[in-house]
Amino acid sequence: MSATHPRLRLGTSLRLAGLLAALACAGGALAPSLQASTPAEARAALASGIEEVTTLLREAQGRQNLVETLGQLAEQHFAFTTTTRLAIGRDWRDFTPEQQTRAVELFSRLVIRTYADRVTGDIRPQVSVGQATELRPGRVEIPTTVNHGGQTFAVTYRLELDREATPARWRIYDVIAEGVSLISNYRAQFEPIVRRSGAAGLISTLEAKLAEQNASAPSAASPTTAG
Amino acid sequence: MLRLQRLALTTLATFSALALFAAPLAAQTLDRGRAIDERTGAAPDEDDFDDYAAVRVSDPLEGWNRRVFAFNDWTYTRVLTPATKAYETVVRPPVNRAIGNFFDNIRFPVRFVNSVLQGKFSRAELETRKFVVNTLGGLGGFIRQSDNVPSLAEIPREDFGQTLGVWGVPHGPYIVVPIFGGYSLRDLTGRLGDTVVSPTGWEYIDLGGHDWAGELDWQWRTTITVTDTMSTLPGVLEIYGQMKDAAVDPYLSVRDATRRYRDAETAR
Repeated sequence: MSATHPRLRLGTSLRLAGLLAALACAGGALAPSLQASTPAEARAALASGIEEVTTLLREAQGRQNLVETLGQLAEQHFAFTTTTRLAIGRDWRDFTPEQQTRAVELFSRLVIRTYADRVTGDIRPQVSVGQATELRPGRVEIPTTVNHGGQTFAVTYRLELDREATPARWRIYDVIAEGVSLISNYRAQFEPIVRRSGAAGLISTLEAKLAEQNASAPSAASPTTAG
Repeated sequence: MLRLQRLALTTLATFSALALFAAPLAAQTLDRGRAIDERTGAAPDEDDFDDYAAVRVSDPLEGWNRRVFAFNDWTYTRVLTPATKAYETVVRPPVNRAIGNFFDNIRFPVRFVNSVLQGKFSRAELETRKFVVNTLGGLGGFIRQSDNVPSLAEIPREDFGQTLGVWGVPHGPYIVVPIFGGYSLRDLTGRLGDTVVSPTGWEYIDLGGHDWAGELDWQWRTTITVTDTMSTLPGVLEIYGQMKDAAVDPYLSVRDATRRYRDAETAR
C-alpha cells in the first residue's frame, strides 16, 4: 500500500528481506556456484540463488508445500549457528554445549517460521546485486537493491564461508533491511533476558514464543525440526 | 471551543496514522557505546561479537513507555485494524493508494525545506521537479508520474528529525506516545516541526494571525485528516503485526528497529 510513506518502507522491506533470505537460501541449494570461496564468487552465488528461487516461487504450486520446501532449504543453507551466536552475543560463552545446540534449534525454527510464513507466490521482486565487500576473512557483505511494486529497498546480506562443508560453501548469516539487522534486532531482545535469567531463561522464552505461534497458527508448517 | 473540538478530532485521526507509523519505528539512543565486556580470552574467531555491538537506546521512561506500548498494541489490534478493514471495503486499495500519493505529494515543502537545511541543494531541486511532474503530469499528485523518471524515482526523503541529526543533535530519550508510537525526543521534535511546514498541518497553526484554512468547516477538516491517515494505516498496521509476530520482546524489537531505521535514513 501507500508506496509512499517512509515508515511503510521499513516493514515492507523487512518482509522482503525475509522473503529474500528464504529465496537466497533455497537458491543456495539450487546453485552449485555457492560452493565457491572468493567474495566475488559469493556475490555470483547470491545473485544466481535469488534468480533461481524467484523462478521457483513463481512456479510453485501450493503454498503449504512451498513453505515446507523453503524451510528445509533454509535449514541447510543459512548459517544458523553463527546467527544465533551473534544474536546472543558474549553471553554465548556461558551457555553449555547442550544449551547452545538447543538455542540454535529454537531460534532457527523461529526465524524460519516467521519468514517462511510471509512468503507469497505472487511476489516478483527485481533484485540487483551489488559488489561484495570482505568484512574479515571468510565473511562478506553484499548490498542488494530490491524493487518491488515501484519501491526500492536496500537489503544487505552477510555471508560466511563454511569451510567445514565439502566443498566449502557460502551461507547467509545476517540480513539487513533498510538498516535494521536481523541479528542486532534479536540481540536487543535477547540481552536483557539472558542477563536476567540466564541461558535457561532465554531457552524457555523461545520455547514459549514458538508455542504461542503454534497456538495462533495451527496450520502453519513447522517445517523442519532441527535435529 | 469549536477549534478545540476540531483539534481533538483531527488529532485523534491523525494519530492513527502517525502513531502507527511511529509504532514500528521510533527508537532512540543516546550513545552507541560498544557493549562493555570485562571478560577476556575470547577466541580470535569470536571477536566478531563486536560487529554487532548493541545500540544503547536511552530509555529512562521504560516502565511508562511499556505501558503506553501495551495500550497502543491493544488499540492497533482491537480498534484500528478492524476500522481499517471496514474502511478498505469502502475505499479500495488502488483508490487509497492514489489518495496516499496525493498527500505525499503535497508534503513536498517538508522534503524541500529539509533538503535545503541540510545543504543538499541538488536533492531540493530534484524534489521540486518531482513535485511539478506529479502535480501537473499526475493529475494533481494522485498518480506518481515521477516513478517513470529514473532520477526522480527514489529521492531519499528528508524530514526535520533527520535535519536535527545532521546538525549533530543527539536522539535523547525514547518516548512512546499514545497511538503515535515511539520516537526519540529529537525525532518527536522533528515531527512537530514538519507539521508547521506541511500543508496538512497548516490548519492548526496560526501563521501571523492568518487562519489559512479557516474557511473549511470542521467536517471537511476531519474528512481530510481521516483520509490522509487511512492512506497509510493499513500498511503500518501490517508491519507492526509482523514485527510483533517475530519478536520475543516486541517492545525492544520495535525500539531497536526504529532507532536503526532512523539512523540509516539520516545517513542517506
